Amino acid sequence: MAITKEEVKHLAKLARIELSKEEVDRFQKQITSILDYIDKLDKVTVEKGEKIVSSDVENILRNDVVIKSKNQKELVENAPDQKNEHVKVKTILKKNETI
Amino acid sequence: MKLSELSLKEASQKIQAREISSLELTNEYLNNIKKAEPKISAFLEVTQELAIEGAKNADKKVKEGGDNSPLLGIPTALKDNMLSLGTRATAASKILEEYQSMYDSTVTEKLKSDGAVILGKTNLDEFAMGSSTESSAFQKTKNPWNLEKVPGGSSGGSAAAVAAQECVFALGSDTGGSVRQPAAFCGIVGLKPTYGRVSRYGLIALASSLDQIGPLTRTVEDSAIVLNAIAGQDPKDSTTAPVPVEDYTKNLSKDIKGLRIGIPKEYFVSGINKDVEKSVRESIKQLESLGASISEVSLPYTDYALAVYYIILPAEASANLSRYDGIRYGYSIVRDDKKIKDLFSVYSKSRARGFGDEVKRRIMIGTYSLSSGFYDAYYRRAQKVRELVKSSFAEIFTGIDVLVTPTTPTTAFSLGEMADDPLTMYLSDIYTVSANIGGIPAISVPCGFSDGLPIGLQFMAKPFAESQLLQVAYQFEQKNNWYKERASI
Repeated sequence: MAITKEEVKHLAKLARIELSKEEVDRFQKQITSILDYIDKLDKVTVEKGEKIVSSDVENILRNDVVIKSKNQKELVENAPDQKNEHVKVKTILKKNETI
Repeated sequence: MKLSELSLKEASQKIQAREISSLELTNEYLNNIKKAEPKISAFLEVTQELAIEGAKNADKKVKEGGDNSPLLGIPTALKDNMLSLGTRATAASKILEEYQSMYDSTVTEKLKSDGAVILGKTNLDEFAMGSSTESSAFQKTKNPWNLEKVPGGSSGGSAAAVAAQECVFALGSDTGGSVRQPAAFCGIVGLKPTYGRVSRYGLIALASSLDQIGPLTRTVEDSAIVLNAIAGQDPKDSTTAPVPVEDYTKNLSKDIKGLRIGIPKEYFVSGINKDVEKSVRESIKQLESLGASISEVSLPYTDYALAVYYIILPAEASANLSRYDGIRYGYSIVRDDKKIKDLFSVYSKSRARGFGDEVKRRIMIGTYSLSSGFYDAYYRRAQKVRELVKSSFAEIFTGIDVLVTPTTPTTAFSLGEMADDPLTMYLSDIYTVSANIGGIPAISVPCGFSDGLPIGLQFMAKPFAESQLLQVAYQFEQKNNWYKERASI
């Protein structure tokens, strides 16, 4: 299935990847050829219904016991931007803004 | 005989008998690395000091006695998507270029506690996405048999390092063939265990329903020895199975008389190289002469498995790689561009600079197939076909014990040959992805050469039948001398 440049830009936005114009052109062609290939699955008859997870998989639960985790300080130090032992992010909500 | 020509088994016997020390062996491999790396570029990081320290500790343990682990003092290498304290873990991506391992992966912990000596970290396709190791953000690894050819991928660094005698064995990860395909291209043994056999804790995730860690070795016996060390249930990876770990070496020398071997006819269609087909057909005759009963079988969904794979993998990868956001760890645009004000730009610019082409492509395809409106047509449909692939394997394994196929349709291709054609690159996984889709174990062993390049033979078995898989692979290997061939570099 052909995918348009607008769709590529939309996907890139959803995936949080900024693309250059050249990348949009290139990825449009490449993704179209890959989608054309995977469209062959249309030929397989599959049963309707909800079940898509195989029956041999089940939840593994553990006891609710506290165990020591990694050093929090060390983990926070991995963050590219930090302040007072906290991970720092850009402003998420502006004044009077709702989501 | 040079020390680096010894198999794992032989080197281990000599260490235990105190004929050689781990330090001697480790130094020889460090020397080999110095000599080979300018040509091969298999390693992203060599941890010489840690290795020498590890070798000295191993020698101390040998002297004290009591520790007869076959890995004690054996030099090894890890694919750089596995965490190991004291090393970086880059996944060959710029986004993790400076990332230091925060802890040991379970496989690393197991290797270390058995006394293995870690020489360093090997190159891979970025985030293990690729079949040639060319998508690494840092360097191109060369095939030791021919420096103009790719080593395969994504565990191309691990395979090349073993083939170029830069380590005794290495670990790789296999999501769609990433251990077996480079093993075939480099003329060594590559095993993908059953899904759930080996813990992935501390493996940088690609596609969580498919990823599995496996050994790259020179012989099948070595493969069994390494599997003994790394297999088992792990509370830190809930997908590991509560199936007891056997001694995978114990059945190797048993003959295969009466073993039922199936040849799936769908694997011998157009696209297969003539020399590859010839070697595989001759190998099948040999298996027959060893007493196995051969029959043709059909796996009707073979043709669809690759399409299933290229929907499920990008979908899972797009979710797994959302953690690289420029905020928690790894590369961030905020370091390079102080003017960035909004959160969206931190995400989208960090990821734009941090990820390479193949990663971007797959994240977008995954985002597409999971997006509303396309989810049913792609992801849900792929999951259903995946169930059909799994049930056709289950059905086949009621009548036969082991499947035999080529590992790849061709031998190693040239560097740069498929650079602008991702789809053609994907097709080189056509014989290997089914084992991941079905969660079954599979192994590639050398079975011949074409124009000086190795050819691989693949065996597949039912879930948790690694013992049988290794047995048939061993019997085939010992009938031939392919595994004794060494690349001269």
